[in-house]
Amino acid sequence: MVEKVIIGRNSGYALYLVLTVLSIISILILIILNNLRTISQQTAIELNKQQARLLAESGIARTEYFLHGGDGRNMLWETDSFCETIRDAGEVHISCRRMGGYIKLICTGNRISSWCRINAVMGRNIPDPLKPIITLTSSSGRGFVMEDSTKLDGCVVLAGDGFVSYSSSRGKRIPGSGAWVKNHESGPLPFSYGCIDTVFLNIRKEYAHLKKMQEAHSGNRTLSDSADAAAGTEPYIVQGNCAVEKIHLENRTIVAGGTITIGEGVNALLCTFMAKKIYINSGETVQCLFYSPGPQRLSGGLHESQFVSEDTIRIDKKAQCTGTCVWISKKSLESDTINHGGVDFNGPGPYSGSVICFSDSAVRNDPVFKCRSISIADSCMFSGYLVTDGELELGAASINGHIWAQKIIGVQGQRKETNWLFARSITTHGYQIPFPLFGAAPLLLRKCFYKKDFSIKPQFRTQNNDSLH
Amino acid sequence: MTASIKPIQGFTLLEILIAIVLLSVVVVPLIFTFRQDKMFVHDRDRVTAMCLIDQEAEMVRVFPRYMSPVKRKTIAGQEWEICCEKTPTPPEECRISVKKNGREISTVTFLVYCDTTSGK
Repeated sequence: MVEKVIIGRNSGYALYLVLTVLSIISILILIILNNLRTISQQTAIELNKQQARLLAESGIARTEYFLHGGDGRNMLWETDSFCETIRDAGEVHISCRRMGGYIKLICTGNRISSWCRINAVMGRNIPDPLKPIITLTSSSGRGFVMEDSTKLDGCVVLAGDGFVSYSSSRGKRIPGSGAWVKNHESGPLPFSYGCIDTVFLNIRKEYAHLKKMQEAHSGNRTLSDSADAAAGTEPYIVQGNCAVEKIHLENRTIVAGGTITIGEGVNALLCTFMAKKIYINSGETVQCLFYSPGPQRLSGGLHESQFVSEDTIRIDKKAQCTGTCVWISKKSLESDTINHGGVDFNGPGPYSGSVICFSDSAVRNDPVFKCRSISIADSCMFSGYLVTDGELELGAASINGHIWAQKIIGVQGQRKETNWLFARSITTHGYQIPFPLFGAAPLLLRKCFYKKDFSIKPQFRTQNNDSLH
Repeated sequence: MTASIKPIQGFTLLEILIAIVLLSVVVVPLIFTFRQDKMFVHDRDRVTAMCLIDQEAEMVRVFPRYMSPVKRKTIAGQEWEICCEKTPTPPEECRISVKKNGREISTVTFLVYCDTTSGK
């Protein structure tokens, strides 16, 4: 009979120890493997993102091609949802809409599950007729006179057989000026009136349509973070006046039947403001569009926006306008004595951008009507383009860019002389400021605003698809 | 009456454990070093290819006319080849592929607009 079997020590702790160690080793192995997989996946995602970004940038190339007249399109081409598949690389979605003189372009590249969206506001390269630093479109008689201290750096185009002389030797051609003074006739503007009329027509239509919308708030309103609970509605329409204060606005449309006043603490990006009159006292605006049938006045703040008016645009001393601003003013005639329009730079600046002041058809057909179109104050520093089919009043300013005008009225104190340059210097600018999308081809797009976004997966409209492939 | 069984000849669990741990300490890092190295080389190549593509794509966009079909570069002793081909009609479809020692690492395709009248 067996009573007891003894098999050494059998507490079992060694088994637990083995299992524990094996578990730890397994976990470590898993962590390392996972780490390797993540690195590998991340690299693959980055490669897809790179392709998505290049696809989104392809959208800009495609737009450039269409705006240039490719595939039967033209410079007025607009789309909400153009879609194109580029071989096995992925897809591009393009939304291209006019925003004043520029275009607002949203291009989205998609490669597998990676997306890249480019939000851009774009202008064009300088049109060929604007390349000379001064173009006078009306016959300047014996040409123009410039002060001995005035510095000109570039080609000058004069109508008729005019020439350039110094004030100390008036009537005598500057020796050697034949190399940089060209004589040929130029049109009233470096582009057709049609394209700029279209801008006004479309924007006026949009303003009229928005004003009639039922969502309009009655009376006067103040739009600010604290004052208006309805600040989130889009578009924000007020029947009366609208004061905008202490608010950050992005991609918004603000419409008022009366006056819009931009006050302190306003930070606006890619917004559209439409009102009968616009007063900007302060704030910061980036690539916004201001439209008014009435006058606009910039009294302060820092701006890189477009100001489109069917009346006068006045820029006062405290307002700073940099980068790619656009001022477009339309001159019109109300009666024999009342006229509207013109752009006045009253401060020293510096200002940068494109100024276009043109006459409506009634003014164009009135041979008697005369009024100043653009005026540049003494000591003003301006970079960009000054384009008008009328007169340019120019004080002792420095212009770094191009002038296109019927004639230049030189102003020094109370003295005014036709085709006389009291300006300090007129030179070409080193880099190209984007110009509004007017003028003939060649047209190449230039960035005014550019923002890449990899984080948002966009939704596309499926209707009215304008697509290739 | 008590029966005594002689312990069976062999390894105890403790001995097995020590063996496993020693084996892990020596073999596992070796395996991972080898594997990691291979994977890292592959990922590193892809990152290098990405940088080369970025550089080349920028060149093609800025100077579309001066594109060279094949460029060779030596990076850390390795021979890299950047091939670029374009369709003739605008907007040109440009394909850039990067190869290392003859093996394709990465490829991208995008559009470039080269205006024929502006001299860009």
